[in-house]
Amino acid sequence: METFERIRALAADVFGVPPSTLGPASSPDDVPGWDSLQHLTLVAIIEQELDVRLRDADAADAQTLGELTQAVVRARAEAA
Amino acid sequence: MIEELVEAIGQKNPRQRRPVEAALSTLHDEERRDLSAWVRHALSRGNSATSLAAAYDLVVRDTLREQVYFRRHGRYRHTSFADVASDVYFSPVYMQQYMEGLALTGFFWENHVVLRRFLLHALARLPRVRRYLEVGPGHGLHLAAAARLGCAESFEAIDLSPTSVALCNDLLTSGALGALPAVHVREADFLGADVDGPFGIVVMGEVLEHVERPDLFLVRARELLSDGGHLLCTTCIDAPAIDHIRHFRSVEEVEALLFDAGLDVIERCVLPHPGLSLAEAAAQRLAVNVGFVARTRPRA
Repeated sequence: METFERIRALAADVFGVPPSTLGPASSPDDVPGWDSLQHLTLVAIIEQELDVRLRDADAADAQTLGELTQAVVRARAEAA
Repeated sequence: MIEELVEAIGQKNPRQRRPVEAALSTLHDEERRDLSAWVRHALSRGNSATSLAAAYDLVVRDTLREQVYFRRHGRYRHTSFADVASDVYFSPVYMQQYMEGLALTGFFWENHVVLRRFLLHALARLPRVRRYLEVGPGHGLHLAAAARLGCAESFEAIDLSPTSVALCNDLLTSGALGALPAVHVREADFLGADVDGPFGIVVMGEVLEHVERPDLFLVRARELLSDGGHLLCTTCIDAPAIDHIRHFRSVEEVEALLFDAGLDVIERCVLPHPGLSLAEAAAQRLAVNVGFVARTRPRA
């Protein structure tokens, strides 16, 4: 849960929306400005702030904040 | 029909729904007609809205993965033709899906739409020539549009992918884009092929970034062009993709290759990542699409 909260805060910064409007199911369908470029920006910030390296495919394919959270958890497990 | 495709794309990849809807709203009437005609053609060949959405999503996801790689490493993943040939150009299943997805980007990606207009407007303005050659026609949409314009008395094309040759021939003879003049499309490597010039127009749309020696491709194009003939080409800067192996870093780098090949740029179209200036795109190393009309320089 802590990981999701951090990702939510970072996403709120990137997309310029209140954190309270974002949840695990939040996706480009309901978050204005979540295009490919902003997605890359979000991935880069997540990797930097959480000190983790996502798999390329996970970074590209994640469609929701929940999936990004899972990608971070998976990357941490692989790095451990 | 288009609405069904957009819905399928949105289901497959929510991140694409808004950009695709926005792109559709900017298409000219003729472009919308071409998109409808091409989709109808693709559906008549066994596709469904879902499979076309999957083809489009393949291009989107593969490109995004390569962008992730590019951001991390500062270079393209692949640098040799051998790295990508078997997985892309000579893989019938992948290549067909890739070409179908790429055809859709010609209507859904802003820079691809504008480059297509640039090429077609240039072809419409140039004096009609006797012979037209297109190198690497891929899905065949540009080739078909050029043939429809009637910018030459005869049309030829060459592509090293058997899948592309089949797709082109199928599209050109289907009548999907109207009655077209005969176009001879053959399978061969441009550098090794026995091609008899001269041609008044040579077109290379999104080819130079796919080859190890774009300089040789341009020299060969110049050899095949008549004096006063024109090369129309498009390529891209800092634009990773699954099969891009030649990484151009600036517009000037591409223009220098054209000049060295004996071609003088007379018109250019430079398209930074949508929403950014050229300087901003360069600073962030985000893709820049470019198109050129170049005229042959008289041989010394």
